[in-house]
Amino acid sequence: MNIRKHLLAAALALLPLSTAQAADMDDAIYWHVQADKLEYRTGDGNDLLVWDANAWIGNDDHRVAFKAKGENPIGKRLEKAEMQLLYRRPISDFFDLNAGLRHDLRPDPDRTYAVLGVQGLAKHFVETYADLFVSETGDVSARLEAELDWLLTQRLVLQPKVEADLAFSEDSRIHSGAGLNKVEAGLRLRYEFKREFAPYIGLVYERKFGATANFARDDGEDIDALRFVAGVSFWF
Amino acid sequence: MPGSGLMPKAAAGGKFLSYADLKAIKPLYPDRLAAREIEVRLTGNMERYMWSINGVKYSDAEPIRLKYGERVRFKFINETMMTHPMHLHGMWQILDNGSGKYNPAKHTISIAPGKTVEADIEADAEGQWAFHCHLMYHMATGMFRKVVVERETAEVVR
Repeated sequence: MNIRKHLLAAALALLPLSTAQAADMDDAIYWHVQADKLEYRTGDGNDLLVWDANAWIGNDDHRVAFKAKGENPIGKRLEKAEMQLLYRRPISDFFDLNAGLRHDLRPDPDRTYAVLGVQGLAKHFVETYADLFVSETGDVSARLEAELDWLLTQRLVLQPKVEADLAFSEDSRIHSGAGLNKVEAGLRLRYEFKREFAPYIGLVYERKFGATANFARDDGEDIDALRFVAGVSFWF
Repeated sequence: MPGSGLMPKAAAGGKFLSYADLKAIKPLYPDRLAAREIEVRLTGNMERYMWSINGVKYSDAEPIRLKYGERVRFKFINETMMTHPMHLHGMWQILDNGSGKYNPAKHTISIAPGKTVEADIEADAEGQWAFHCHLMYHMATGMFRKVVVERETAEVVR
């Protein structure tokens, strides 16, 4: 494999409408768009609209990926909205490396981060994400996610998921303390009418810790919340 | 022997057939030993949906080069969890199923998951030939090779 070919493939991945699609069938440009979670949460505190979506384009070796996630309390101001633009490549049979930028429109003030992360299928089919962020203010934080699909039938899938946010220093302006900031645990049951379309219901529990919990208390918010969720997952 | 070696019991006095039952009525070629062996590992990544031979997909691979007139042995090693029916264009694959000079000549040989299967090729057709898994998605995503049969010495043109 030569470097020039890789650079060419990376350049092609940046040009979705390129007519210079690779001549070889096994080196084609593919793309994928997925709304992994698009859900309404109701229960403790505000009702929320929550989304977690991603897309990528590229060949086997080089991809450009986009991620978006956020939370909007119903009838209130947008609370969280982040986007990531990443270069992705395989680093082992089951894991990819992500490198790029993250920009948070919310919380206010907005923040831009450099991102370095891995994602892939760990042992026992645990879908794993680990990201390290360095913000424009020099604060370093991390996020770990793990989710598992239990196929109760070929269409009915129970999915436990945990997500933890950590920070190595405090960024008080965005109400982020140092240490373990927040853990979110969810259990969702989806029905795949087809692989591309699956509505789901579930429960999500979230809890803030340490200084981040103190920031929440100061704002008159609860530090934990249990909510029922209903949503839809789809891709094309 | 190709296959799992596990044979279900046939009902009503029937018989399940396997490659072990194939035998040439009349050998196509004189029985001789292959001059060399070429390892053909069938490889892939089902999570990424990438398929390859010897870990290299078609667009990254060099052709397999055979000398016109030689007899070579392909040693298929299926490292994946799927069966791959491997089809060589232009020449026969003489499946070694233990029948000696009556080994059957086939176009396509199915190699079960985890199995090693050997077959001889008499390189009697000069040119460039397709050699691929006959599951179309596997072929399209890289489990494909060009086999080039060429004479050892080039003719001198004056």
